[in-house]
Formats: sequence, C-alpha cells, structure tokens
Amino acid sequence: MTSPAALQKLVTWLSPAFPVGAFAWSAGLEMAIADRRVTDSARLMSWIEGALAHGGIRTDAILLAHAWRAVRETEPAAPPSPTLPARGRVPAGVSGTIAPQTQSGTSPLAGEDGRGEATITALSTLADLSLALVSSRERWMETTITGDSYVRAASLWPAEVLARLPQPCPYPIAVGAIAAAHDIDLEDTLLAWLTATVHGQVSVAIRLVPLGQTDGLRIMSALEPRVAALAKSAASATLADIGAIAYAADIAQMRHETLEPRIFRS
Amino acid sequence: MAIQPEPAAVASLPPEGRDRGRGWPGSRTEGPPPPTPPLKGEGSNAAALPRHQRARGVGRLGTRVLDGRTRLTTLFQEGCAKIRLPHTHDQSLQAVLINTAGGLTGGDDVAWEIDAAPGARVVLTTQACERVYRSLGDDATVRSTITVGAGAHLDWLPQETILFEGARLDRGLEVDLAPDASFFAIEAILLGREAMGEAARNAHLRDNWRIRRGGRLIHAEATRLSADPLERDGLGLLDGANAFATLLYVGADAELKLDRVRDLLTDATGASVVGERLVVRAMAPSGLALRRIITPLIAHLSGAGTLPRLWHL
Repeated sequence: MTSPAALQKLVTWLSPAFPVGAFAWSAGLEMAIADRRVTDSARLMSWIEGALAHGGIRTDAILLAHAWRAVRETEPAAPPSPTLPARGRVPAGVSGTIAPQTQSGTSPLAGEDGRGEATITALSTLADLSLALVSSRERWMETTITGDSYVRAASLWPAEVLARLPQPCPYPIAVGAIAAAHDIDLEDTLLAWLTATVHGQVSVAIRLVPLGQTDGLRIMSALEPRVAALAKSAASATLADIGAIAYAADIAQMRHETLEPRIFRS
Repeated sequence: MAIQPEPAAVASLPPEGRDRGRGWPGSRTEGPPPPTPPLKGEGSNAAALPRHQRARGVGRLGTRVLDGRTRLTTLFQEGCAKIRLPHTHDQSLQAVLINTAGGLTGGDDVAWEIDAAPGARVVLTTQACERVYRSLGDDATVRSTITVGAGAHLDWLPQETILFEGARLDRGLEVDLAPDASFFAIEAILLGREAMGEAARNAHLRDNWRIRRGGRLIHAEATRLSADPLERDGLGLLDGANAFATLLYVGADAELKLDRVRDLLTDATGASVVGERLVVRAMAPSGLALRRIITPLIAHLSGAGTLPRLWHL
C-alpha cells in the first residue's frame, strides 16, 4: 500500500502542472502527425504502444528503475518508516510488524562519504548510458532540459541525493533517483511516470491531429494494462534487457529538427 | 585477392592477449560470457537436440604507420574467420573480413579484434552479405572489438546482414577511441530473402554497440527484435519496413557533415548531430531500396570517401 506521503509526492511531481515543461516536447510525434502518419485514435494507439513495448519509453523506464535501485542500494532510507520496507514488497501480513533495521545504509561501518561516492558513480554511469542511447539532438535536449527542471523543482523537498545527481541529469534518472531518496515505491513511481509520459503523448495528438478529449481519455483507459505491465517488468529488468526497434520514431525525431512551422520542441 | 606481402610483420598475438575485451555490457547474461562457446553438442540441451557442427572463428588485425602509410603488424585468423588485404591505391589499409562457414547459424561464434595504431587509416568491409540461417534455439554470436589510436580513423563497413526466418543473432560492437580519433560505422539489416518473398517475422536480433572516447561511453545502440508482430508493424517502429540501417560518424567535424547528409536523405531516413556524433537511421521496403539510400551516405561519411570496391560487385 502506497503511503500517503509517497502518493502526495508522486501526484505533485508527475502532474502536468509541475514545472518541468514536459508538455513542450512531443518525442517526434509532431513530425509523425505532420507527415500524416498519425491521423486518428487507432494510429495514435499504435504509435504509443510501440514506444511502450519496443521504444524509448521502455528504455527510459528500465533506466529509471536502475537509478532508483542505485540510490536505494547506496543510501540510507531516511526517515525510516516502519510501514515501508527498505526494498521491494513485504509479504502480506508482515507489513508493519518489523522495523527496517537491516538496512545496509544504517550500518555504522558504512561511512557517509563512501555511500555518496558510490551513488554518484552509479548515477553518472546510468546517465552516460541514457544519453549515449539518444540518437537525436532534440531528444537529447528533451531528456536533459526536462530532467534538470525536475531536479530544480523537486529540490524544494530536501534530500541528500540532490547533490549527487549527474549534470545534466536525464529525466528518467532524475525521477528514479529522487523517488528512491524519498522512500517512494519503485513500481508506483514507474506507474506514475509512465502514465504521465503517455498522457503527454495523448495531449500532443489532441492538439495537433486533432483528436477530441474523449478520444484521448479512451486511449488513456485502453493503455492502462500495457502501462501496468511495463511498470512491473521494468522494475526488475536488467540493463542487458534494454533494446528497441523504434526506427520510425527515431527518424521522426531527427526530421523534426527541420520541420517548419512547429509547435513542440521535439 | 592479393595478400599484402609483409611476412616479417605477420605474427599472432601471444595467448594471454586472446581474452581481451570480453566484457560485453549488453550481452544476454549479466556476467561476461565464457571466453569460448561450448563445443558442438556440449550445451545443456545437447541430449534433446541433434548435434550440429558449430562454426567458430577469431580474426585479429593490428597496424602501424610507416612512411605515412598504414601497414599490417598482426594478422591472426582461426577457424572460420579469415582476413584478406587487397592492395589499396592510397595510404590506408583495407581489410576484408570473411566468414568461410558461408553464413551463421545457432551456436556459431565469431570474434573480430581490430587495432588501428595512432595516425592509421583503416577500412574494414566484408566480402559479401552475412547470412544468418534458422536456429534450433541458440544465438549466433558475433563480437567485434575495435580500438582506434590517436589521430587515426577507422571505417567499419560490413555489407548487409540478412536474417532468415527463425534466425537468432546476438551481435556486439565495442569501440574505444583515443581523444582525437574518428570513426565511421554502418550496420544494415535485411529481414528475409526478398526474392523468396520472405519477411523473416520470426527472426531474433540483439545488436549492442558501445562506443567510448577515452574510456567514457559516448554512443550506444541497443537494437532488439523479439519476433513480436508489433515490432514489424508498429507505426513508430519498423512500420512494415523489411530493411533498416544505422550509420554513425564520430569526430570533431560531425556538425560540418550534417548539411550534405541531409541533402542525401529521403522521407524514410533521418540524421542528427548530438555533440561529436552524427547518427543516420534509414528504413526501406527492400534491401535494394536501402542500398540506394545508404551508398551515397557511405561515400560521403567514410574516411576513404568512396564505397569499398566489394560493395559494387
């Protein structure tokens, strides 16, 4: 069960009103619409389903999970809460009965500096991989500008991890690392981030195709099982599981650089 | 094809050099793969499956620069991996990588290790398209490890890889660039034999590139086909294309090359520059259509400035 404090933060941080400017980016969808390739609800579904199953959204979800884990495995969970397990889910009936005394981070033997260094190294390696996998300039700007804005906005909720984030910080790395630092469950974080990301794509189509608000909501509802499945699988995926075949989306992102006129920044 | 006559310089690496660079970040398993694949029939499912001859090959090539000309210092070839060195009419060394097994199938394992010395100019290509046949379960693996020294340039220009129905290919490309080295690579994939009307919808592919500059990861590719129909038909994915290619140029002058590249593109291709890397992605309905798109791009982006002769045959 998600704690109230965690749910409050997720809803706030992944709301379209949180000042990261995510609504300004289309991840190539504006180009696909301009090319008359995404013209209706069914084709928008195909576009988004592809990104979830075999495209950039899946890759980012796996990286988000690794950033979350990198912080959890190197930082103490603070403040410890007896109802929150240190990592993973506690079996039914056990929750709330044992305090998380076994957290490695609370060991007096693990020095504060050593933990910080390990976090910095792990997050910076993930950020390098995230940016190395980006194949176009606008996509690079999208993930770094959104990520850095997210870090700035979330810094109003103090956490040690904020000083240990790479610069620039790709968006999924920022979301995963900061959620872990605030004791927010990984799968919940993935669900919220994936839902916000899919919602962002639907909003682009509502504006540009155009589609009606009802069409957009129908797609959000229809994609719920896929989003839930990806949240679950990404939570335990290894870095070797990263892989995509999003050629058409990548090409759309590249071609967007010369699209005139355009409304979105990618 | 003539071998460059420099016998005194031809020697194999010492045995301790053979397991260098085996840690593949994107390979199937978490840990590094074993240094050698199981010999024929040694796999865990050996009892259940008929025994097949597995092809194995290691090819290694080292260079140095003498009087401004790139020359061979190391040539090692074992198993099905052969390297031929046609005469060139410029200062570069051209090497043709050949898999004498005549294609790859499940369990086959080929490794290439190429070292371009400081200041060297090296062009690598293949004799023909690589065919990857139906697998009974295991992946065919190809590992290419390349180092490019200071001020050197290397072109990695294998001809297209054709995945047959039921093929399973796990391929890796690891490149280490010195601070001012440059690099150009293409990998093109054709899905099925066009003339046979195949689309190889059950083909599996994992293609991982890790390009590092001075040890830091600067570019990565993680291409994956898992026989899910959505991959082949999805609007943002292959969208029905049976051929696709990625071209990568890494160098300080990447930005300067972009305008000309854009002039050569069609609607189903895109190019972008991120920092010092220029990436081109191309999709086409057929291998022939893809070749029409990529050959002028190779001529523009390769260090040699032309297509290797073997691509014309």
